[in-house]
Amino acid sequence: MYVVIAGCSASASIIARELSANNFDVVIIDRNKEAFKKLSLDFSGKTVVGNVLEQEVLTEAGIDNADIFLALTDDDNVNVVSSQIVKKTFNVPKIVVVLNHHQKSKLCQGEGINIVFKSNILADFIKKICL
Amino acid sequence: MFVIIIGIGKLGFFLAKKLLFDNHKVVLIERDNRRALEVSQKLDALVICADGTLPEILEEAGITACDCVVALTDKDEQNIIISQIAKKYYDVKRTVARVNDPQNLKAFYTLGVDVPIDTTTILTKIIEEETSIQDFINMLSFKKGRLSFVKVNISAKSVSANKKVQSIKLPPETVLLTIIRKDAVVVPRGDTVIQADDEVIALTKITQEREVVKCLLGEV
Repeated sequence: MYVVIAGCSASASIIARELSANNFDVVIIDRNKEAFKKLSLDFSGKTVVGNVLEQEVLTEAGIDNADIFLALTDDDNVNVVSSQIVKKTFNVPKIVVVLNHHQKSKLCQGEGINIVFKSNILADFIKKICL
Repeated sequence: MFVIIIGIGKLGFFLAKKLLFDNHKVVLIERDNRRALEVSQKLDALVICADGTLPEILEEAGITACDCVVALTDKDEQNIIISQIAKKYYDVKRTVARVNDPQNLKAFYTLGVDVPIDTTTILTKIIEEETSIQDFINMLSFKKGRLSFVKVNISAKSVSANKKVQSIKLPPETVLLTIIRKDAVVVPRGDTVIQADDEVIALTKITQEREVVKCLLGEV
């Protein structure tokens, strides 16, 4: 399975490591090459420095062969826009978008697109501990 | 008209000023405190200091009644999101958005922005056309950048000079609309002869511009 990840955030680096340890082909895109320092030394995937909204950058990351696209940047706007580009232009079958807020989620709904609300998951978890 | 502008840099400021002068209703949204204050002191319009990519802020600005949303921030993803929210959530008639990085232009079209403004490419075209192909300009691109009007200046050396329109093999989906000869407009028909100093205006697909110019002028 070929996975392209947008944004080398802390969670992305952990997910990348897990997937790559499970024999997934992983490519991470980030516009800042310093972000890749978060990756563990045993990460065996590929990194691409660039703006995930640009078709050229996505192509360099091998999006044409991707089975899965994960929009994991810290910016909801970038996640919402990039997931739509990936769906509409490249028709990647499985897409996961992680969002901080709800308001823009309607823009990236669609077949094969899974939206995860980060804050909801955290809130539920903390509620369980506190209640 | 009622226009909402998001992102009040120099461009947004002068645009707002002009629209207000032309008696349109303008509401401005600017994220930066200091800039928002500065603008509110100089312009007679409502300035909201907030994140214009949020639906609730756009609602506060009156988006449900507005005719046109203009997104001029310095981040392309913000400009795209603003345009999409305007269209999908509030059915705004026209969305105009600034394209900061020309590489993102395609994304603007794919994601439904009505009028992406890519000044870098517009300027580059003008500059390149001035230095290389001086005899034609792309007057207007429309229909999501797929069609264009092209104006070609015919000279005595042009390959189509003194030829009949019907004998010129133009690429498919191209129409010669008009020939401007001195100050008159000539409607081109099959047997119209193209002359030196004519200005020929053609409608064609943007991918065929160069081909059309080649057919009319010859190898450049």
